[in-house]
Amino acid sequence: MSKLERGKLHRTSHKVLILLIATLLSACGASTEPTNNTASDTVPRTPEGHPDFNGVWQALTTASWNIQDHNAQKGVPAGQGIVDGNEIPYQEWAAAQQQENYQNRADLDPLHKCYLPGVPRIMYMPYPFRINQTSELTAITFEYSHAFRWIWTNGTEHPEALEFWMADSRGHWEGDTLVVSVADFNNQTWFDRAGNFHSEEMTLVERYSPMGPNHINYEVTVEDPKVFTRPWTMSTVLYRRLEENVQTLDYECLEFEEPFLPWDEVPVPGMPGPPEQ
Amino acid sequence: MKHILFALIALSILFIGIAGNNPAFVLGQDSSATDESWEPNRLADGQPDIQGIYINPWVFTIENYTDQEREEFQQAMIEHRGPETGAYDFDWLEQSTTERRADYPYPDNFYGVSKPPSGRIPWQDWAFQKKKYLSHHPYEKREFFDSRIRCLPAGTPRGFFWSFYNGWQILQPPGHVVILYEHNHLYRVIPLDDSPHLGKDINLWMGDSRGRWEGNTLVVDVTNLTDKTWVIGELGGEGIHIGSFHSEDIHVVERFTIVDKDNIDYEVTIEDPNVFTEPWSMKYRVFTRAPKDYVLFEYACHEGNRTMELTFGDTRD
Repeated sequence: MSKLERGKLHRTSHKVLILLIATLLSACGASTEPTNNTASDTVPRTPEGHPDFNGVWQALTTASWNIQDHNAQKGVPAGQGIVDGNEIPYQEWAAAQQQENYQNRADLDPLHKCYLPGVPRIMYMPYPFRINQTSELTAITFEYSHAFRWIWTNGTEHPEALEFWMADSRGHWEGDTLVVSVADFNNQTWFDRAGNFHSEEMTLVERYSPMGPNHINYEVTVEDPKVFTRPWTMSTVLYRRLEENVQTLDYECLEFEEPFLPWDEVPVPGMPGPPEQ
Repeated sequence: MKHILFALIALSILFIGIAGNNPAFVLGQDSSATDESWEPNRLADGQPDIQGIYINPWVFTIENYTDQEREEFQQAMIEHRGPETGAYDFDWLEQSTTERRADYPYPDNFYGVSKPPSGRIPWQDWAFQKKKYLSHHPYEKREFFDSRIRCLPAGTPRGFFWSFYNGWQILQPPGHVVILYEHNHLYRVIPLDDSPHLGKDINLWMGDSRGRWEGNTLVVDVTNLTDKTWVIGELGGEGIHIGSFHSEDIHVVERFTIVDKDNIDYEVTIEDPNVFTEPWSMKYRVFTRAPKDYVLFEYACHEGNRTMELTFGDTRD
């Protein structure tokens, strides 16, 4: 080999070595859950090849106050609705019922009694939640009232003739979209604070589609032959919470009106208390 | 030069291949087991796989109460609940202990306060007097009531006490252990990283948890609890434990040890210099795998809770 050729090979092999070291370092640092992945367009994937939704997410919409277009009220921002076509196809009796709900919403909203918000309302309330995704089960743990949803992806069916506040969810993948069938509702929950309601016969189909690594397009089709004249659809975006060390905290609805005995207070006056600090 | 380079490339590809599939290799985790002949499966992130549905069908005595204390408590319960005290006396406890242990194996003498050796929780004097008052006057005021009964979260470790009709589900997404409690749909998310605990001004009803695996033992450090829960429970004849209050400074360290493919044992150390004279520990078998086809259901606690109304006669709900 000539001096020139040896020189070229030397430089090339240096470049390869540097590339190798860089690859090694990035492999060691790889994690399955993206943190500040804003520079990449790549959706993280599970070992099965599905989009990996593990992490903390939150909706950024005022839909939990009103899923349709609305102006601001005191303490409530204005909002563009999330209902396709902005029309909810109520049957005549149901449209009247919704109006009555709206007039009495301060008393009748189930959240006012600290009852569970139901689905889909829990998905677009202004509180974060964590998606905990494994191959057989995705459990969504919500900050609001520590609710959780089981989304079974193991091919099992809904139980029959049961009613749950947070319904029953069974999902499967269609390409990169998680399609979830939601059934077994009760008739106690609302879609929002504006009195939009459903019956126990409601069923939903949710579709979670990645829009890059940090956004999920959340679409839900509502079907309830007892209340609506046809199926209708809502959609909004779920945003990955990207702050470092972000986690869900507590919103314990019940604690705000309950009395408590602080640790350093005695139950009866005159009993000995903690030593002076 | 070429040969050395090719060798280096080949070795690196091999290394990345191994490391990518088994981060335990990279992290150098110890994988020694308590039982030589059995090892749990490992998940992709290196965790021992303990996913599944669990129950806790045993009842046992937590503390070595004296006969006099038991008698005093029994009298207080008769005073409050009438001669048929129901689930709050020791006859009921004995019966359920015998029935349940026949179904599921339980190691001998593996329950209750393990430290200090007296088997008694080391309360400060004033705190013991307060706790005793609460346990003998449980219905006197709404604020004396157990958080669990009010459908508030049970806290940690209280949420792991036996329950004949509730189970737990463990799932392990990458880098986390998530425990779902059937009762009152509580949950705990336990990250297995080096992230710091929350700042001291944030309190969580179930505490803020950070975990790590030491072989087949999950060690969880819990801080940031509220002062609104009790440390130990009052279910099924253990009513004498009513009122085991604590401060926000409580620090809980849990050790979940995988015994075999079905059972997980628990040792928890509790430290709260505001109410106890020293750190103390409890040991018991916390989980056994639920029977096949066992289903956990939604437990909408507050939505159906009439306890407060029936006890205090109010209709605030």
